[in-house]
Amino acid sequence: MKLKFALPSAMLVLASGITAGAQAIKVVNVTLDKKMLGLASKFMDDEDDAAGKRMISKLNGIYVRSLEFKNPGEFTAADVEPIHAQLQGPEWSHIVSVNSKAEKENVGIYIKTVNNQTVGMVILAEEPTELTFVQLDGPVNPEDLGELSGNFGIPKGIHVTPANKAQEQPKTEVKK
Amino acid sequence: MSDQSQEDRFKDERIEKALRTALRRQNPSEEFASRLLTRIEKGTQPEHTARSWWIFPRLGWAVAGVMCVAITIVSAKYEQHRREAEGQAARRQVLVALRIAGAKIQLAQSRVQQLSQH
Repeated sequence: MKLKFALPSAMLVLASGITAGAQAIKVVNVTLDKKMLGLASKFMDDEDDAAGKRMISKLNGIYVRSLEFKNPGEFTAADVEPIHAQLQGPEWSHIVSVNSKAEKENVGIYIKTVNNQTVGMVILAEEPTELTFVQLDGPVNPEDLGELSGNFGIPKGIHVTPANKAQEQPKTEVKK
Repeated sequence: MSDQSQEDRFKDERIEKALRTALRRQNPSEEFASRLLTRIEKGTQPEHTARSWWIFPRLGWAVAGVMCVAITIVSAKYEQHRREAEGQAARRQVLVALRIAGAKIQLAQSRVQQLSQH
């Protein structure tokens, strides 16, 4: 139980550390715990919000740190390394990895599984002038993202390999 | 005239005499004139206003009751408004978070598609 809460908090501290050290021109910082998600869901009555409402009803928290920089190279791989290190634990599966040298982009999608149950998801995107960390804490079913497709900027027909299948199949990896 | 009626007459006379004594004209005390003149000079009113609430105690209670109800209603409305604002802010944050997550998933998907096309 202690470990369950310790890891997300530690990751957030690291993500916050990046915010403090970087010269970002735009910072998006979203911290929503279960209580706030419950409150938000009460106000998600629009038809477009239905899928999102269903998804957040299961979550314990949503944490986003998005930093936008004026010039490329204002953050380095070393800034992100502590987060990568935490995502190397046995509970984490790296299900999608996009490394584009031409575009200088690295996008990773990680899921956390405990007893074959998905209990968290992290999206870490490093772009030349943008660094984004998204953590969905709770039982995220990858199929839930399919439900969200077409909304919130998520493309239609997106499918992320479920947790139990991720262990059997190789992760999606793109290197250019 | 019977003894009874005579006795009644004496009784009436006694009562009348007692009333005359009680209601006889009296001159005010010597201090009264000086007190009155002092008050006129100062332009003060008799101390009456502070007592007015106690003169109408029911009105005082009614006003207090109305004020309590008004304060309760205003507090409830304020709390409702505050909760609604907080909820709407949380909803906006959820939408921002999902849009950012969606944008990054889209980025990953577009790179995967680019690879499959090559």
